[in-house]
Amino acid sequence: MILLPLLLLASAADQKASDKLPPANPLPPPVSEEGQVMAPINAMFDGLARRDSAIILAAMRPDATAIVAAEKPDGTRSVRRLTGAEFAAGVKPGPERFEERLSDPAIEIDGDIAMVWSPYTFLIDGKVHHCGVDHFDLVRESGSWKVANVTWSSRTTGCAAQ
Amino acid sequence: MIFLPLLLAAGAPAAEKAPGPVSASDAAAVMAPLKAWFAGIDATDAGAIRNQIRIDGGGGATVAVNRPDGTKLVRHISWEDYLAKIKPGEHRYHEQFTGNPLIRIDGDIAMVWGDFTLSVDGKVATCGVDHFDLVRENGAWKVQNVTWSQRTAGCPAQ
Repeated sequence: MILLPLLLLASAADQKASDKLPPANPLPPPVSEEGQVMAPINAMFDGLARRDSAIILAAMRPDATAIVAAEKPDGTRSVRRLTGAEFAAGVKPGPERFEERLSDPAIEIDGDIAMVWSPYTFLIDGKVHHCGVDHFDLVRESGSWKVANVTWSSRTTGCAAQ
Repeated sequence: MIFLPLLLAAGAPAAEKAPGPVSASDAAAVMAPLKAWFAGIDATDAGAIRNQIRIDGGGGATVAVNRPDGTKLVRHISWEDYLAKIKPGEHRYHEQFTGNPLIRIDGDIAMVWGDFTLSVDGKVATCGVDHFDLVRENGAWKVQNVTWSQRTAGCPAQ
């Protein structure tokens, strides 16, 4: 993509670029890169399970958004957009047990951006309630991955039983 | 994911339906707004790009820049700010995917993840990965968000 002021920042003077070799014996990362990318997503799911909006908010960038494309059983469709704060605020303490499960997530990483695309099922009190695909857009800043956006499809028909 | 007002409107689940592979025609439909976007960059035509965006959808553009000196920068800008920077000037820009981008579609959501190069006056200036988040509404795919990595080191020559 293009954002001209940033393009201009990358001046020719910058391009003497380091061909420095990596340290001879770098310490192995404590968690795989994929694991680090999944950390904020798992934190969001933990926040859902605990019905704790603060945990969810902490996993998202301040300017994060959430988009849901829902299909109702009668075939009608809607697209709704929420700010991260609105999304988190929808998760309040209550008696039902929420659980979100991903199956076979695809993870792609390039430098400080990453994406996760995965079928999911959402369970309430252990029973599948709805399903779809979660699409996470993640950015790493100051060494920490956070969710910049999550878009998901949601349907109640055609979901796996468990 | 869950959004409680929608949750309350939902009915009972049924049997399993596995997501299928992306057909060529579905992939072409998802790629169409991105091709138009890149054409808009080539033509410095902000209006052409605007037509590919869910302009009132609250999304935007996020870039993660990796400079040759190792410093990094993440910026998020609104669509209007992004579009305001697309205007005719003294340089010619050309953006393209290098290789085949990864495309995934489920119902009315889609994503495209692909290596790109951006050339200025015929020379590759930056490269990285474009990550598009797309939503289909009223039968048309549009871009909800774009996030990209941007570097100047290690880019392909063309």
